[in-house]
Amino acid sequence: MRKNEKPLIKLENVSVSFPVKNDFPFQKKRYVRAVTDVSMEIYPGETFGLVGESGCGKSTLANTTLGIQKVDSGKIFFEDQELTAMDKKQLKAARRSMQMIFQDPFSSLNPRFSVYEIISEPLRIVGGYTREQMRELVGNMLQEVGLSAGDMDRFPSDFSGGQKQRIGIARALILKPKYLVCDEPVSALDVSVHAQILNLLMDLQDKYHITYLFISHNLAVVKRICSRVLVMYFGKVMEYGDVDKIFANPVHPYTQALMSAIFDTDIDHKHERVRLKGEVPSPINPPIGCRFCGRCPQELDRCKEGDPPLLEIEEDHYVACFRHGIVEAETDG
Amino acid sequence: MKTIQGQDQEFATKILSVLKKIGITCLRILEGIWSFIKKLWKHKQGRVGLIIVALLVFCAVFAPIIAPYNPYDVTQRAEKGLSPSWDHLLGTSITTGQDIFSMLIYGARSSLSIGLITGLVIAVLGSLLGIAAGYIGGWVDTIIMRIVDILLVIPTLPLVIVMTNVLGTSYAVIVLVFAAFGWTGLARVIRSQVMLIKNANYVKAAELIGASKWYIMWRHILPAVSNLLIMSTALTSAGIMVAEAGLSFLGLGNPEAVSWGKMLADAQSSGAMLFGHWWSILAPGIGIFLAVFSFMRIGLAMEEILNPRMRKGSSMVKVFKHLNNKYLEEVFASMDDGSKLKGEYATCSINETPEGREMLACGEYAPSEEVAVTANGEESKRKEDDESA
Repeated sequence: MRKNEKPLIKLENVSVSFPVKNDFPFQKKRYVRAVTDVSMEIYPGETFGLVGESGCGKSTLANTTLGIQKVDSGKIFFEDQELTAMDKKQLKAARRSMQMIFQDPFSSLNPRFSVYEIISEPLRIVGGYTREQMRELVGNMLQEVGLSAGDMDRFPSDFSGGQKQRIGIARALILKPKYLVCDEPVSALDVSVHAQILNLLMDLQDKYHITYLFISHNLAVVKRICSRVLVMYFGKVMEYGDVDKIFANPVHPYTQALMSAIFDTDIDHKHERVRLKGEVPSPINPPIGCRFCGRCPQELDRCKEGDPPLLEIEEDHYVACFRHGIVEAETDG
Repeated sequence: MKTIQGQDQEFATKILSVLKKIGITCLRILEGIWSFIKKLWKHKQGRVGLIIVALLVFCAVFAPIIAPYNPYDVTQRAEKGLSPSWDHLLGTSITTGQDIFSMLIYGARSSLSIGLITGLVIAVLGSLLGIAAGYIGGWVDTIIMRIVDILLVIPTLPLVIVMTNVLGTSYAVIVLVFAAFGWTGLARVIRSQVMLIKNANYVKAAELIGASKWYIMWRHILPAVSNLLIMSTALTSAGIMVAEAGLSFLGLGNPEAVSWGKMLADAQSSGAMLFGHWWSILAPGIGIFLAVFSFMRIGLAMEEILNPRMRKGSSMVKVFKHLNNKYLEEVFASMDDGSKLKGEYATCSINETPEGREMLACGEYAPSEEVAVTANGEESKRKEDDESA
């Protein structure tokens, strides 16, 4: 059903790498491959989940969609415009409709600014608003995120973590963006305010028709609020597609391991915990073949030889694993 | 005609808006200074420093009104080497016969102005280069930091002596030379601070919207380092005042100006001590002391306000209060009673407070004496027991 719609953001074979400082002079220049050959589509109005463990390139990928991170190869489209082909001025204009919410609400607000100054900063940078207009907009936005307009002249230190995150959301939404990157927006908050912030985000999405890129390592949250999800491991796409399909039928062993780590409140329900062995390999010398090699509980000989391609196994459900065909063959036979 | 008028109007509104912006920034700076003074006033040491600085500034600004004579005026010179009297409160100098009290007041002008101007130049240079190095990074950072490394290992005062010999001894040269070698430490401190702020998410948020580098430096980074700047300006100004006095004393100051260092040099060279004219040495000495002392007070008070770890009443005061209130009373009481006193109590009570633990770790407080007392007490008790047995 999504196929007929035009994607808001489209990534085509995007790769990003960072140079590593040399240990010795005259050494061959080495690179950390943060994102390798990622293609994805984010449709307008949806919440797109980005899941993976720390350091797997989630934030780098999010930065590339915002056009802050330069890519080595590949193309990024935002509403049919190619971000990767834009000059600085065009990028600046395109970024007006993109915003970001940060993980840590404590470092994302300047402690020297009042709430009014923080939220009106985007307006001031863009320019063309009078002080009265800005005060009115900021006041409305504060009410929108569940604070009162009277909080305008207070400082961030007067607020709790959840309230600070609300201020961060207000700053992100003041320019009415179409696309919002939420970089683990609740993981730094108390568990008791998780639901409040998530509900606020969902309400705002309904109201303003914003598209979210939701980065998280909490699968329970992803299952609740996302419509599509991309599971990343070590800079590569492992599994990608509709949330319900992936959660109902996780095919990739890495996704299965992540699923089994979801904390279950149902004590009687005992599920098998898939435990991964080993460590994340060095990003400078990734293993040959599938990136998950060496940690995969269902490894095959083939996995060490080549990269598994990303295949569509059902509508809007893509998997990059050699095992998939074999599993099907086994069940058939 | 109309179009020209329109252009003129546009131009006028543009100029007006620029003027408005400048006015707003000036107001903001004044506001910052005022809030800074208020903070200092609450701090005991800062208040002392502020009062003395205010006094000195008053003397410097209104010197012609306060001073009974004008030391620059040759006709107002009296007999050489007079002792203190009602006409000449601190006597007159041995070499020229200028009134020492007037020279003292006029001397505040040169000392304060050199200290403050050099301090300001250093603050501007250090903050600009520090922010550039920290925020822009890359080869800019490398070049600036290598220059800092080179300048830091050059001993300043001998070099300043050589430079004043070559370039002459005007105020401009002294200010420039001190500033050229004084900005390095400040630039380093500011660079490290900037590198912290640069990675904060609020800077990233502003960059995302398309804020320019200038905007981020001006609105986010400069305010964050402003307190640090004020503090270091006060401290470097004090240092420069001493250095300037030293230069003048060596005969390398501005020969035309009246300054405290030059007064000292004249007194020394004319043998004031030999004639017993101690006032002609003490007066400029007190002047230098007051100026440096007050600036140091302000700088140190600022450091304490900024650095919560150094806030007053942290370690020493609290531990002593604790000891006074609980521990010592019990010690004395138990000693009077002659009853037992647990040896552990000393270490126990001091270990309970984090400050106490810090002190124990630093070795500032050694409970050995108390323990010895208790050990003796227990020993004597035991002896008594033995005797009774």
